[in-house]
Amino acid sequence: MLGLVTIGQAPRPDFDAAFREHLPSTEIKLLGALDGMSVHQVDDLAGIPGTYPLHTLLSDGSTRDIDISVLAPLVEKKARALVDDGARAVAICCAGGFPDISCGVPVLRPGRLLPALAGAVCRTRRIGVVSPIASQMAPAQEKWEKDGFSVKTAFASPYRHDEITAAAEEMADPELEVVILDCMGHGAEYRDQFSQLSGRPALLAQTLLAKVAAEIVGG
Amino acid sequence: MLGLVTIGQTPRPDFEAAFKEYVPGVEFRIVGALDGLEPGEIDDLSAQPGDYPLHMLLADGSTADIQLETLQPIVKQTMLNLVSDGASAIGLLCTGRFPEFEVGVPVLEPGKLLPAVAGAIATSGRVGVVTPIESQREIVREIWESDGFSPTVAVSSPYHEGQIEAAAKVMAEAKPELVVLDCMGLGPDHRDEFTRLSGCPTLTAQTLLAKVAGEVAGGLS
Repeated sequence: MLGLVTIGQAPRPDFDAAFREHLPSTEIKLLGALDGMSVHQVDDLAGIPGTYPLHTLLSDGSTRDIDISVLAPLVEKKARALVDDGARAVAICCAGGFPDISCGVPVLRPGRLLPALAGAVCRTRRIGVVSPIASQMAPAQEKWEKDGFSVKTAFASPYRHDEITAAAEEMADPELEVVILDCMGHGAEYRDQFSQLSGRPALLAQTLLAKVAAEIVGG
Repeated sequence: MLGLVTIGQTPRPDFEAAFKEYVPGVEFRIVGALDGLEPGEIDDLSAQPGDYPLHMLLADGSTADIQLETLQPIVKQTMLNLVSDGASAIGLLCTGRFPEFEVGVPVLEPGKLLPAVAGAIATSGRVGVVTPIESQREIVREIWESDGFSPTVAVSSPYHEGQIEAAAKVMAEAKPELVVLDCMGLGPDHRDEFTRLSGCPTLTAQTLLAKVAGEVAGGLS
């Protein structure tokens, strides 16, 4: 079984479909870090101050921005629950810079995989990074610069379709070798549209994570 | 067109199948660095000395081991020919750690992808590395160590039967966080068998390269 942890709440049919495409016959189980919490409890978490907010989708279709330091222990707890349940690998469905999670099976974090891949395919290391929310642009820039990239940032939430045009305009810069869609919520269609609007090649957390997870659990 | 360069000779139906599956709808062409060479010429290349031999398949089904340094200019010329023919990106079908290729278009190299992705997954640095030939064992260990890993190295050629059990046994005992099949010839069948025998999670150069090529090609659509 492949375990998936989303930072918001289940269900995530978009994630189910993205992983199912590459793992047609493997059991996939998704847990949300905020599963079972009331909106009131989630609001309390969103009220805790911090410097690196992550953008999460709740089961009622609304979104909240919660700091990574609040979410990290909740994500780790769900990852361990999936391992106890028999997961052979766990994929964290968020591109944030999560700390190591040591739980006896490979833990795949797009926050580590994306810079690894971008560094291997991009020689100039001049990249664009699209965060889902404006308040994440500064910590995202810091994270990518720490990985040795020269970064231009923009934002576009996958859960609001009116932000893609402005972000694509920001990123329509021929100096950028590649643009990273640095949020798990952006799907393949979004990527295609973004690439078309910006004229830049785009790397996507969601499909990349699904493909590497399929490699690791064998598919 | 995506240009793919194997260090031996074509045809390579295994590579064709992987790229057809993971890079659908994109035209690609596979060319061998040694295509058109006579056995005598290949023997001459194999005889060149060095400390980093690469293992390759020839059109007649036999294999040759030729030094990376000897192959490098031949591989580069093969890439340049593909670029002249219209390739907008190149994929190198070998995990050897070649120096940077300057051919005017992006070059996807498994030798860069594998350590980057392995490092993102195996945070302890304890990896298993399966290399195709005994004579590559020491240089491969040095390379992975210089990348900051603590590798356990085992040998299993994709082109010679009967080596996979011993390699899997080494990894089953060492229990690394992740095993890397560090040779392009080791495909999904080999991976499945290796995973079954060793019980270790495994990263396969061949399918990883094809999937990443598919991601990059998808981002260009």
